[in-house]
Order: sequence, then structure tokens, then C-alpha cells
Amino acid sequence: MGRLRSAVRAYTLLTEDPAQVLGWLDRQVRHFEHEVMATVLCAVAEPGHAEVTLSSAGHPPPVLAPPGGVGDFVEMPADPPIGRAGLRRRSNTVVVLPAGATIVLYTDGLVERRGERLDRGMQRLANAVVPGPAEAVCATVMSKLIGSEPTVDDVAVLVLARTAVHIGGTLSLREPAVPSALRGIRQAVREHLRRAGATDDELADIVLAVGEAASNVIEHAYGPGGGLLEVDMTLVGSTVTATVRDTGDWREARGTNRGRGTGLMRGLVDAVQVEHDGRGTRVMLSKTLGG
Amino acid sequence: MTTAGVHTDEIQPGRLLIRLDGEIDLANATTVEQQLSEVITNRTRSVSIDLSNLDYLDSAGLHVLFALVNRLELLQIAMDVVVSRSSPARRAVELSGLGAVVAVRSEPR
Repeated sequence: MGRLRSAVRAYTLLTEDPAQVLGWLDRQVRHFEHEVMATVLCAVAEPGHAEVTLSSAGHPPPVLAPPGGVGDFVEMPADPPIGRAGLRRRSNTVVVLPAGATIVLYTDGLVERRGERLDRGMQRLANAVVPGPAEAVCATVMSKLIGSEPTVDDVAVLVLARTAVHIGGTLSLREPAVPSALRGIRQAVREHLRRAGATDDELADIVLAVGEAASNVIEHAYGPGGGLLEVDMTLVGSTVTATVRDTGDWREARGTNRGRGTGLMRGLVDAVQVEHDGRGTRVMLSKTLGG
Repeated sequence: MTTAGVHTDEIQPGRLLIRLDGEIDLANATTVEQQLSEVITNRTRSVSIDLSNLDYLDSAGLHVLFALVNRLELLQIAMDVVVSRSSPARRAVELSGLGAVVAVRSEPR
């Protein structure tokens, strides 16, 4: 099992496609570990966590609970387990994870009981998942499914809860300042603006302006240690204000083609304000909808 | 991860129509740049880059296009850019001033 985990980790450095990771893992195991068979569920959630991409090698599907809803199994095909006949192409399933949703991954030890049909254990699990903070969901699942019974098999439970808060027209995102965070940030900002009633053109302009400000943070705010990128959006009357903030040292843009992003921002929104202080840089972009 | 498609047609010998789709930002601009330089060969005479099907294009993507304009000018390969009026990439192209260094059309020639 330790060798499988090391192999999975190595492959995830090479691709973010779960079907590809499992395809390579299958080849690795069939080549080096003839006796091994394992089921694996591989999930990739990007920064922003607006969606999760899943691929299953003979593993039972995760439970997804939408905000305010109850748990249900994700409908997804299960490809053959690792170590069996090689498959030319494994499949991916993409599930949307709305703000406030929870997804639960688990090993079969959680749902299997001697002398009981597997569906009953799985049903118990689906009933036990109510969206909430990850620690709370874990605790509920463990107490309802395991309780104080001694278990025959190992049990692992992994809970991912998306907590982006939307309270009265605000959106608050905290992401690592890396390029792969940009897509998730755009998705969250788009979703937020749609709820705020922005037209398609307004939405595209604000998303691009926020994208530029966020790219600046990723490229210029931090040294090799990295840092956080914060995006907050508020709606006052019909004016949307996006604040993009870092806690790094400002560094002037480099390269001949740089500085283009700032020009774009000014063309896209009504006002751009930049503040630097000892704690970092804050870019405020505002635009009046329907204006 | 941000992804973009690069689809190349040789519409006449030496004349390429390259259609981009998906999204281009800081995460994948270098990949797109590499893909473009792989399809444009030394025997290429002219290149049309069609951005109409892009869902998102920011300054990192524009940077690739500006750099390509410079490079192709040096190699004496003709270049133009196509972006339909309704394309989500239109605003970024207009605001960036790309039209000042390369012909920007709303339909392919």
C-alpha cells in the first residue's frame, strides 16, 4: 500500500488528470507488483474548489451533499481495479461543488459489515452525510457507521467541504498565489456576479479585471516561499467592488510586455485604486452595474 | 487547470489557420506559446490566429500574441488575428492595442 501511495504521489506531479494517474498506476503495478490488486478513487480539486474531477478504479463512489441537502452517491462509472486487465482509456467524472457543499471519500472498511449486503452500509453512509464543516462531518460519519464497534478492516474517511462564504452579496476567497488558482477564482467570481444580476458583458469585464489583478499578485507579490491571494467582492447598491489583496512586498513588473494588465484593468472597470502599505498591496476595482 | 485547444488547418500550402478555444491565462500561456511555435514551421508563409472561440483571454495570453507578432515579423511570415464581434476575447484584444501592431479582423479572410 505504501508503494502504491508513493507511485500515486509521483504521478500527480506529472498530471492533474485523475484518469491518467490511475492509468499509469495500473501499468506500474502490472509491471512491478504482479500479486497486487487495489481499488483507488482519485479526486482532483483545484484551488477555488468549484468542481472536483474523479476517476475510480473499482472503488465505491463518493457521497456528495449539496448545501441544505442530504448525501447521495455521485453517479460515475467504475473502471477496473488497479492491477487487473489494462484499460486503454480510463474515465473522468466532473462534479460541481457549490459553496457550502461537502464531498466524502472513504475506504470500503467504512461501509462493509460481515453478513450484510453492501448496499445497506452504503445507504447508512449516504444518510449520515449532512453538509457542514469537514471535522463535524467526519465525526458524524464515524460515530454513525463505526461507533464503538471493533472494525475488521482499516477505515479511512476524507471529507472536503467548500466553505466560500456568500453573505448578503459578499464573496470571500483565500487561495494560494499560484497560476492554477486563477481558473477557480474566475469561476467563483462569475457565479457571484451572476447572482448579483450582472449582464454577460459586465460579467466578462469584471472577471477579466479581477483576473489581471490576481495575476499581478501571483507574479509580483511573493518570493519563492509563496503566499496568499485574497479576493473579496461586495455589492453596494448597484456598484460591485472587488478587492484583490496580497501580504507580500510589491515588486515592479518585469519584462518588456508587462504593465499591459494594468492598462486592461483601467479600461474594464469604472475605477482602479491601488494601495501599498507595510502589510501588502490592495487593488480595488469598482464598476456600477447597468451604468 | 486552465486549458486551451490549438487547432491548425493548412488552408492552402504554407497558409495556416490556427483556431484557439478554451481559456488562456498565466497558468497555460507558456504551453499555448509552445504549441503555436510547434505548428508554425519555417515553410509557413502566413498565419491567421482565430480567437473567436476563446472563452477567456488575459494579458498573459495577449503577451503570447504580441511576442508572436514580433517573431513572425522577423521571419517575414504574414500574420493576422481573427476575433468575432461576439467573442469573449474581443474586449481584451481591443483594450490591449493589439490592432496597432497586427491586422485584427472580425471574420476570417
